[in-house]
Amino acid sequence: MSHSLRILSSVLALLFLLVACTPAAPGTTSAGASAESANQGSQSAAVADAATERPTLTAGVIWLDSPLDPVEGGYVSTQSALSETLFRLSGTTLSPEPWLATEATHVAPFIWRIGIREGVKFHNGNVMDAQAVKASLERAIRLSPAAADTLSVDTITVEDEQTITIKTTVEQPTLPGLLILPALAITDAAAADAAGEGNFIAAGALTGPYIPIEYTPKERLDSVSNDDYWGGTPPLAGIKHIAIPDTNSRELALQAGDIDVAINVSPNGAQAINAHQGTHTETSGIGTSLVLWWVNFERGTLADPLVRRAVAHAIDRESIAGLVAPPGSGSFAELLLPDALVACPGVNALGYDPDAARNLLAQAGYADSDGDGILDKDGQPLEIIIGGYPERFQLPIMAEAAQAMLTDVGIKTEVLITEWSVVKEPAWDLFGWYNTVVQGGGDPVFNISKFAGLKGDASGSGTNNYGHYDASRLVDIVAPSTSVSDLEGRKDIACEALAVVTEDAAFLPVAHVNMVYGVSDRVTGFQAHPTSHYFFDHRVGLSE
Amino acid sequence: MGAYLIRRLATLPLLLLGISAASFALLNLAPGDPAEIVLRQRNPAQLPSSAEVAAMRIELGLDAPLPVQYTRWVSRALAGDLGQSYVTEQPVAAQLARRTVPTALLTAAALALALLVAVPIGILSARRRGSSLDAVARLAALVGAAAPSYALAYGLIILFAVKLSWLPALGYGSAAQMILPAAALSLAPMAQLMRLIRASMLETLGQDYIRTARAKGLSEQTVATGHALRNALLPVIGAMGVHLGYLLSGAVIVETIFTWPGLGQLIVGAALTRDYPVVQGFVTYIAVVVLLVNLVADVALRVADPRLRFGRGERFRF
Amino acid sequence: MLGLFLVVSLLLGGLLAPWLLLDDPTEINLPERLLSPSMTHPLGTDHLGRDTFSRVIHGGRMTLLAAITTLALSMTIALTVGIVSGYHGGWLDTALMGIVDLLLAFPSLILALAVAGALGPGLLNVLLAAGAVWWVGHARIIRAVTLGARQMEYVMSARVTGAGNLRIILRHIAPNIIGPIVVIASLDVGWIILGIAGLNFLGLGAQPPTPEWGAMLNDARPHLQTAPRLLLIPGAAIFLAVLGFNLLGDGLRDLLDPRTMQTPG
Repeated sequence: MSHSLRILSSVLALLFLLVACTPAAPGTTSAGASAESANQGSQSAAVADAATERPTLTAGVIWLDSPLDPVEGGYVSTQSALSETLFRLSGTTLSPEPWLATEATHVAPFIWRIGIREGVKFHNGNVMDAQAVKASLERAIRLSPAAADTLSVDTITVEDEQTITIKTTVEQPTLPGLLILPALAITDAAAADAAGEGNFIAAGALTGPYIPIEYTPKERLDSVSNDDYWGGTPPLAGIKHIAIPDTNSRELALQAGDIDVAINVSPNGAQAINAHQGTHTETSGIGTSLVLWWVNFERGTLADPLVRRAVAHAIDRESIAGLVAPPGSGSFAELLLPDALVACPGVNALGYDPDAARNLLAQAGYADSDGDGILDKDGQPLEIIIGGYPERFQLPIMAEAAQAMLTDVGIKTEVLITEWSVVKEPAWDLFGWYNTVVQGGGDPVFNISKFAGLKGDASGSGTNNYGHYDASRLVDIVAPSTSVSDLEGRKDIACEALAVVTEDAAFLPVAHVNMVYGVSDRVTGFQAHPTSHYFFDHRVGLSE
Repeated sequence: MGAYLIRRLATLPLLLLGISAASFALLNLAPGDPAEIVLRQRNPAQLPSSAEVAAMRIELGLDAPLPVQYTRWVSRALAGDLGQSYVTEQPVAAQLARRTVPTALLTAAALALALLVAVPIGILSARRRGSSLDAVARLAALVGAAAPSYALAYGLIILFAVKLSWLPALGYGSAAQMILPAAALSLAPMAQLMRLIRASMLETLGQDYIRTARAKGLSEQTVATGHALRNALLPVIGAMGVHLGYLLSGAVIVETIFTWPGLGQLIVGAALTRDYPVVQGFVTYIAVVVLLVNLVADVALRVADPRLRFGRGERFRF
Repeated sequence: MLGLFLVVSLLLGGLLAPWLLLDDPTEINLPERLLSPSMTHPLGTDHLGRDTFSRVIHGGRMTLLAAITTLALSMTIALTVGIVSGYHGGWLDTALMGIVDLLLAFPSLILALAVAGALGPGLLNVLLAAGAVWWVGHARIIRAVTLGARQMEYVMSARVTGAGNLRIILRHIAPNIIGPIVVIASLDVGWIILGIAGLNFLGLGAQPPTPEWGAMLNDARPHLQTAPRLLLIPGAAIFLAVLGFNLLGDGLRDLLDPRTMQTPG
């Protein structure tokens, strides 16, 4: 028996080789150190807990991978109530509202004057005054190309303790909306630079109601309450964020009581969460995430306007919208932008009409000459490829449904669900995509132009335009917007632009998706924001 | 023994070199430009310009010819530097080190659980060959080997976490959080080990020296537990590297479902986002670990089983 | 016997699927989505209104085809490497077994994951990835059997009398290898089905609308709580297929391997 025990124990000992075989000695120490500091983190949270008897909230999120320093393209800090920007996107009107700023005045075509909130302190105790805001914006422009590109700042001047003026190089009638960009969150520039890379937490350079204490990208982010917060003391001792990329796991964790808030739940998950005792869902009233297909003009097949229009007629987008964003989680997107941003009663998209699609294809010269059910021209079958990526559950379903509809009118269709960075490779004709349409502070002109690759001033290569749509017809419509600052005037321009892209079938929008949050009944004061910019604020709490 | 050990140790550097070349080649066959992927990761809203891509290629050292890139990578790897993740910009070696502990804990717990169940049942099943206990055990082993772990994992969560609220559905840190993932992970190796132990027990029980032992008048109990078990466990050690491979493969799926912050979750995320340095570093690292475990298992086997010293080494290598 | 029954019905279902007068497994019908089992749809419909029964049967065909392709690919490599290594011996043996040792260090699913991740998703890529990593263990066994056969007296004498290598391999070595190969192959199909389903589950496998069990499981994940049937059905299909092949493999081993026929005592 003793022999067998020895063998059994040697089997177990072998296992622990795995533990011993860490790649490098320094790596091992750092692992130990980080585990230790994680312990300290939770201990200090526990101490704070005991001292104030405030609970800690645990949230499950899909992604938790961007750096905390806002200028490094980090959306995490603003999302998690660690950092704040000068203006904030209102959850009800989708327009910019003052946050760390108090007001903004457009004093001249190129000049904005911005009032800075009094009594705001960075987490390290330094006061946030006009000088600090100027330094923060200048640091963002220096380190973040996206921020620099969006703002086109010429100079920033400190007028007094609470006022700065921003002079831009182009007319920026919607500057407050642009200041919503998370990269422009106000940061203690000197402290952040002094702390150096990889040490951002120690700098205490942010202003939000929660202070980050421990961050392991793709795993967890722990924060504690900022008791000196300008908006009042938060009711929680802190918030723990856990990255749970799998939607099912996130939904189940909420139902099992492991987390108190599940960010982004599916329509099916919502059904289960609402049926489960002790949990429910909170849904934003407005859908600001757009699910659409980019149309690839470069590959050729869909460059033919007749085929493009036929494809638009052949796909029952409204039914598909009902599938991927059923009532309560979204709505059909006939046009790119939701009515909440701009309503254009005169503009109508090409509707579902398979017969019209067949006629258009016949006009384009396609016929089923070999009787295989697939149309062809000059011996070439009519074939299109629908792409998409798997992280957004809507995209594969959409692709598969459209595949069947296109096959019905004689178009051979392949589905290619793949990692999203291949979007630029021209291996697709339609590419499913999911993103927000409230960039630039929800300005409708900004958002339409962006899809077509135009900047706010109608100059080219602004942004995505993944399908290489020729936006020349839009330039003359969008260009005058630089001198239009009233919202109604901008909406008129937006409708004119929407009419053009809709007539061209330049993009095929499917649904506007609401943000759906799974929430424990214990959570109090939770605001379901329609974007993924702000998950939490200083009001959210947890009852016993 | 000495000669064997020297031969094995001598081929080790060659194998390591081969592993590094294989992992390096693997990722360089992949389509897509890493420089562009990095830029997209950093700023998803913006398509990088070709000038930015070119600059990033230089920053990442991708402009150098492949042999130069390989030599660079190997010499850094030898110094413990496996590069930086494209996504999180953290050093790969530190990420692997940090995530090794959770995976080691999970696989160790799963294997311990598997052995705890498989060893006694495997022995009993062999000793009472043909009994109803044997039939049930064999059926259970077949069922266990055929059950897909992902279905099992979700089933466990729904039952024990959501319906009964006995255990947490996911997370890492406490012993309670380890029970469900370890159970989900242990089922397949448990079934395999049970079959392996039963088979080798049967074989050992039929061998001459056991008959001799019986003839000497040792009781059935002593024979089974003492002599036979000792030899029946040898194949378990011999197959340890293989089982480690199975466990790590299973951990990929189980960790994804249970949000267990281990190596499996790391590799799935990295494969989906084409985080090449992480995939490359991970594959190399795992290969080295499995290689070393295999080596130690082989040596241990030779120490434990004198018969193997006379050239029957192939028997347990499957 | 159960194994044989399961495997035969799987093969029959797979072979006859196109002639079984089933609904088109790819025909979507949005108004009839997520229906419970009924007379017209014995296993209900899925999230796009497709007939689940038809998809499972056609899925079996696809899964089986995938597994057999992988098996054929990996067996071809394993046989070539194993026989050449065992029969030729010497430096070639050392070199080939060196490569095998090397590849053995990479856990198969992880290597397949990396390959499929690098090549991009797709059933063919998964098959290539699985086939490319699966042969390694078998090459060793085949080598060992070849080695054993080569040293038998009649093979030795055949060599001495100047018979050609190919002739020796076909006449004397092959009969020895067939037994183990059949056993390994039938046991393997189960593993391969599980492995491919795993890769599909991680989103790296078959692309829509292909009915494939692993892909069906992956498609059904969002319906885990609201329509668990959609997960249970392909899950059960995978389970039964793997069970069937394992049972068959066990049975064949008992038949073909005299060692386990010994009764103790």
